[in-house]
Amino acid sequence: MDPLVIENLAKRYVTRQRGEKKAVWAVKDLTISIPHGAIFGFLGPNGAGKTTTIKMMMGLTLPTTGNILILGKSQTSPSARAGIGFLPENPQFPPALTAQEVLAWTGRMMGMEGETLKKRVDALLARVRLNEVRHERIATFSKGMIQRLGIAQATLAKPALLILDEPLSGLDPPGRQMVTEILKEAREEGCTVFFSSHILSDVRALCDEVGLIVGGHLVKKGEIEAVFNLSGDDSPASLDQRFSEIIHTRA
Amino acid sequence: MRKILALSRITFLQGVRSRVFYTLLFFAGLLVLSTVVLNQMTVGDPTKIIQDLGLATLSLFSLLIILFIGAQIIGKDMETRSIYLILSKPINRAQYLLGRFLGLLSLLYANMAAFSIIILFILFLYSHTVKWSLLLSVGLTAMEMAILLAFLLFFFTFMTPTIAPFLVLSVFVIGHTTTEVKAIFAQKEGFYHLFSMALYYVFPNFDILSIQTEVVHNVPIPARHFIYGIGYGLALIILILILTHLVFRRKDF
Repeated sequence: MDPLVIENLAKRYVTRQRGEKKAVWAVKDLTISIPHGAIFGFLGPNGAGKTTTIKMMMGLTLPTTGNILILGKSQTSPSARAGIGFLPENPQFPPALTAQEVLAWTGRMMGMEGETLKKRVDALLARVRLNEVRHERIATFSKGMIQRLGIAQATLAKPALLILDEPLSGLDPPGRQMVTEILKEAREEGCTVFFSSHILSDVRALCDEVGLIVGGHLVKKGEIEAVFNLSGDDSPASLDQRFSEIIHTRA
Repeated sequence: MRKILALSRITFLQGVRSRVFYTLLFFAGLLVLSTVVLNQMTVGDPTKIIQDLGLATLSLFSLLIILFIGAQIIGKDMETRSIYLILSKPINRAQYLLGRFLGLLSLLYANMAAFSIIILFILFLYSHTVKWSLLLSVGLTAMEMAILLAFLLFFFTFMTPTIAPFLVLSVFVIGHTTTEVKAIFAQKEGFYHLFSMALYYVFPNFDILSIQTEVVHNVPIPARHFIYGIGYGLALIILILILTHLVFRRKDF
């Protein structure tokens, strides 16, 4: 079975406008299956339903209808999350804690302990270039440092599935390159990666397959070249242009 | 259980490192020490003033920890979505609630223990005896604070971080006045009588947990009163936490 299977997923929110109830579908009829060891890019403009989908995958929001199977288990089961590394969009850590404390705590929550945990924390802090500030409080960290800490805590327990919401946002070019390398290394170790983005050039550099979500509907899925009709020499600017065109057509 | 303890340990650390905590600690320490000065200015038994003011300070400081530090930690979880990084770990929502509850409770009780020692020490300097019965009052106050902490978690499951602490404060005030309100309106008919009865039965009755006057004036406290207070508190905490879980388990983030 594929590590991530989503079937007919839908989420409806009920809002009130001038006293009248109005139903809004944030996600509708979403079906995706990600094979083992793949990097899947979940693309879409702001408000397309990417984060809502990810929140449903992590059990943070309950679906209105549909099923999500993570590593063969329902997403609501805590044991399913034992195999997942998760990075939310703009991660927030307790500002009073240090980077080392956050990673040690994450490890304990994931069932790691002792020397194994200590070695892994040391290795990851060095990998995301936070070793020098490991004992400093997160309140003093920049946005990029917090994002790198987020990547470290997501990959700490060497999960079978990584679910990342906009993992490259807030990073400078070296930071983006570092995260890209970490994700590629994770794939080489057999990890399946699902990540959302609205930056086509990032996705192109990483993904085996992409899905495009617009207005809560999955409108295209496949290899990025086929989905966006790309040629080999497209510049980042022309990629963005192509992305916008497709979104406007589909919207 | 290990995951609950890991979360409660982090909660304790967050609380201890909060700036608000040190500010509260400073003023509470000042208040307790002021009993020594007050003793010089008043007539009567100095130990009674130390006990009265010391226990009142302990209760107030504990309430402020809940209202400020508890609300800050839980509020940030909900408001800044730092809860995503907790709930995405292999724990269920009941474990999250218990972890946060126990972490804040340990912070609260560590401080109550420290202040109790300080009050007992000051008392010892005056009377040359250790008044252990003071700890009975502290024990029931600790139970009252645990109830308020459970209410804080409950209100945070469906209220905004700004409103939830005010609701906890309301529970504190109402819980200390329901007996009196019920007595005042006992002879009345109609709405006021029903309203006072509703307040009495819906809200916790903190008078059951208040034995400060008896302790200060050396009135013997029957063991069954203390045991009843502990039982009442524990039952209420379990009930509130179950209600909290029922609301929280279906909460969308």
